[in-house]
Amino acid sequence: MIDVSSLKQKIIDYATSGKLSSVCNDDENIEIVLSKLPTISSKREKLLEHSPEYDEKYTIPHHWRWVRLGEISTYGDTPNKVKPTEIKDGTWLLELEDIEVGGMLLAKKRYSIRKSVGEKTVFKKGQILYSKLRPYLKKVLIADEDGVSTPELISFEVMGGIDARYITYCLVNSYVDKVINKRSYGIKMPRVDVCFMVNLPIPLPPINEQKRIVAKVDEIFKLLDKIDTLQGQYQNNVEVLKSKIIDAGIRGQLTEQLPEDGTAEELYQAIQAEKAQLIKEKKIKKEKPLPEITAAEIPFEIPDNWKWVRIGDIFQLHAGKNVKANCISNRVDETHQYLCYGGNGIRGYVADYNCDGAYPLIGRQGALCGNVHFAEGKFYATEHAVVTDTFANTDVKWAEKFLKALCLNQYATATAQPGLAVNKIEQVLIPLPPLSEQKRIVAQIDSVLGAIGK
Amino acid sequence: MSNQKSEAALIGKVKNIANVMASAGVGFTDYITQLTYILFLKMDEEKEEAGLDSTIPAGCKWQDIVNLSGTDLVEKYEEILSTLSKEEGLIGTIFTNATNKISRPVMLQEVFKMVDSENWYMMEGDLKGAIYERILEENGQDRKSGAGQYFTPRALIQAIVEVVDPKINETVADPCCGTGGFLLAAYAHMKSQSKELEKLKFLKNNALSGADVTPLVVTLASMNLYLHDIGVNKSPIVLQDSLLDTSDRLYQVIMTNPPFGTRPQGSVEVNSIRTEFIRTSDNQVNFLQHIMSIVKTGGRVGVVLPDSVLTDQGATAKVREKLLKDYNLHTILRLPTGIFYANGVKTNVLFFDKGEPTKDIWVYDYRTGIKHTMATKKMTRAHLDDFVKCYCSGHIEDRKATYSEDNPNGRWRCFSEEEVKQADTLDFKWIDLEEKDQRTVQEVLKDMEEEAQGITTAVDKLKKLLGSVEI
Repeated sequence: MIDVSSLKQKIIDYATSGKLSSVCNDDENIEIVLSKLPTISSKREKLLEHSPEYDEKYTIPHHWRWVRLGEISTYGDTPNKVKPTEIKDGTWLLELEDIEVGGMLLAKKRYSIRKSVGEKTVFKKGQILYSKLRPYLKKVLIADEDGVSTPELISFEVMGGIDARYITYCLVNSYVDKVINKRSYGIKMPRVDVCFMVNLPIPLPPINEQKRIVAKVDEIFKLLDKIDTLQGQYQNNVEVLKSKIIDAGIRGQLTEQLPEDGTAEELYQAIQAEKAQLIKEKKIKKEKPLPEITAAEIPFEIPDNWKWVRIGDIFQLHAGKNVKANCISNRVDETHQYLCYGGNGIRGYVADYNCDGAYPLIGRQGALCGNVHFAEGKFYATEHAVVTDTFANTDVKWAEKFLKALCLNQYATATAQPGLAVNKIEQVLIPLPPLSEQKRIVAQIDSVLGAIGK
Repeated sequence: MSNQKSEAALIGKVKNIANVMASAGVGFTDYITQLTYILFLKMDEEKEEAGLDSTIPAGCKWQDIVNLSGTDLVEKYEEILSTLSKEEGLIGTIFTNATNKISRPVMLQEVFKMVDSENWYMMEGDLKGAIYERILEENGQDRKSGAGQYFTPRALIQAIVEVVDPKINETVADPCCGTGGFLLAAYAHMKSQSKELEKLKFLKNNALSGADVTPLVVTLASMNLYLHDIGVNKSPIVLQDSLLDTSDRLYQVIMTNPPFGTRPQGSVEVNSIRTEFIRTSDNQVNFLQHIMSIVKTGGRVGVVLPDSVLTDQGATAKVREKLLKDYNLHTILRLPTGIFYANGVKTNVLFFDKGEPTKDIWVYDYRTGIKHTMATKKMTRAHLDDFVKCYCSGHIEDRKATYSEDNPNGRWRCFSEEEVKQADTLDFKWIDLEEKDQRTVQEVLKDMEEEAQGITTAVDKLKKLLGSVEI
């Protein structure tokens, strides 16, 4: 997977350091442009007299020149302001919230729809708009229309025919990012001061080269955007595929039904027999029989040698016990030897265990109730984790996968604190395959998901 | 236009003082109650000035108090409240259990000054009523005071009244009337049905009945009706715990929104007085039983109840059984969250008639996929237009479901008698707005291959563009 956004940042850096372009002898020397720049306004002159310190500048091609933003643009000049009452209906009124991080325009709101208070700054089509508030958000764009904006947006134009888009790159590359964030004052509302910006070093190639750079960046970004979209779709499809595979698994479509498997009915009887025996030996509790499954309840078709059962028929569910939060340690140590499972997986380590073996655990409290985790060995289950006992060699991994696939969360009560009662879970229908097929389903799902997981 | 301005201006005045009150520890509900008392005194004064009869006894009139200040003012005010609370008729109802909650003389004076500065009685009936309703609505949204439980969104009330359609010669009751919204809406609905004086007289004086267990709410409801010119001589609202009502009075139409929550501690056990009820501590289930017991045969009910009444087992299930057996529950409207003051409350409106058993149940799902909030996305009467249309009030034989196999997310669906018998709860839901991916595994894999190919091609192009530049 390609990290498109960090690649884009790299491209901007290359673009503003000469790595993305080449010399062309027909290009007019940039010195000539610089010599013909209009006189610097007195306001900027003053600011340019006292340059702050900047980090060491990086190397640029020797036909480029370092200049300062205030020398090649009107950044630092007094802005034109208007009062809200002076704004004509229909004027584009730009607020920071309309600009996405990175500079894309989200919406164009007009005056009259958006009510506004306070003075606004006037800007013109073609000017660069730069947000001095939270500069790290890189809200920089070029106005495609006249309008007014919040005074946090500084509007300025570049002179001498210098390419405005090239300059926008120079405002968001890694070097500038670094030096601005060092300099920004304010904690809640960090801003960059005008003196710093006016003196900001800008690396300038010949004008034609600037244009070539901009064209190249455009091309590259188009490809990167395409890659981004395709990657997103691909990832999405991976998720869809995973759930379809598991769904096929539960329906018996992922595996073949073999005659030597026997039937699920046999397994079912074996489970009931074992349960009865354990009840006699007082090893498990006797439970109320669950209602018969009616034809109307059956959600989908399953292979002939499978059987629809209720969770409570083939498993036995019991919640763990409460443990105080201060008895749980984040790390394993001498006193805390055993993993502690809560309603959402591992909580930490505790001194005792109350389960020994391999069990699926169903979380029964909170928004994520119905989630299924797998625990093995000696561990402790809290009262929010429902331990699922299996019988007659039912495959535990199969049980985990199928319980997950049932999305038990949908049966949660719709109260402030959602919960899943054990007797609600017991009623839920689950399709039971014969033992050997259970194992094949688990193997198949694992191998397919393992293959796409890359 | 000018109505809106004066309405807004007056409400602004009221709210300004509310803020002052709040900082002095007087909650909005308490403030509104006191304002109601003071308003009533002023209006009586204005009536007298206009040559009409006063209904307030001497010594308790506006003139007796308006020029007082300081502790004299407070003392006189409390004396008046006490005296009037013992009166009969409308005055007694408005001043039910009246006690002063504004102990600071300066604050009390503020309210008197504000009330004194306007002419209320001569204001158009609609304006007075509208202003008061707005104030009650503000109060209803005041979460801190919990006053929301007295206030049902008016959009919902309108829709319910429209489909239950009380007729001008019928009796209408609301056994937990809160601020009187249902009664007011019923009145407006029925008033427009005839111009005959006899019928209108019946409507004004005998048709409506309301009750509530909270004294201050009885005050608010009575005032609300009074300002809308109903119950001018005698308030149709009584202070009463409806659940303990053994009067055997029956009504033709009942429309109500019982309070959610449990019965207050220390209340008389309902089942001990109403021995015919199935025993339960669930307040709403008890109200349902009460409503079932006060509706005339052939009468109609529209009642707002939470999900739990539709799904709980035990005693609630028994009450549901009785409902389906002796009453025709023909329609259920599922309501979204975010329309009542209490967030997350899931409610429904049950519509049933007395006299026949339930056969089919029509369900309108206005919950799945619906998002409303009290502040920014309020539910309006327009949102319920489709429901009201589908209901076909008065000609329900014309009802047509919008749900079908081709349209599985249609909101209006009929559940046949068979389906109703099979269901163990009345919680009917069927809409699944999640778009299910219809592709087969093969198709998904093919799409993934195409995407992977697309990525490889783009990366190759990229490499060419970058030439020797490393990424």
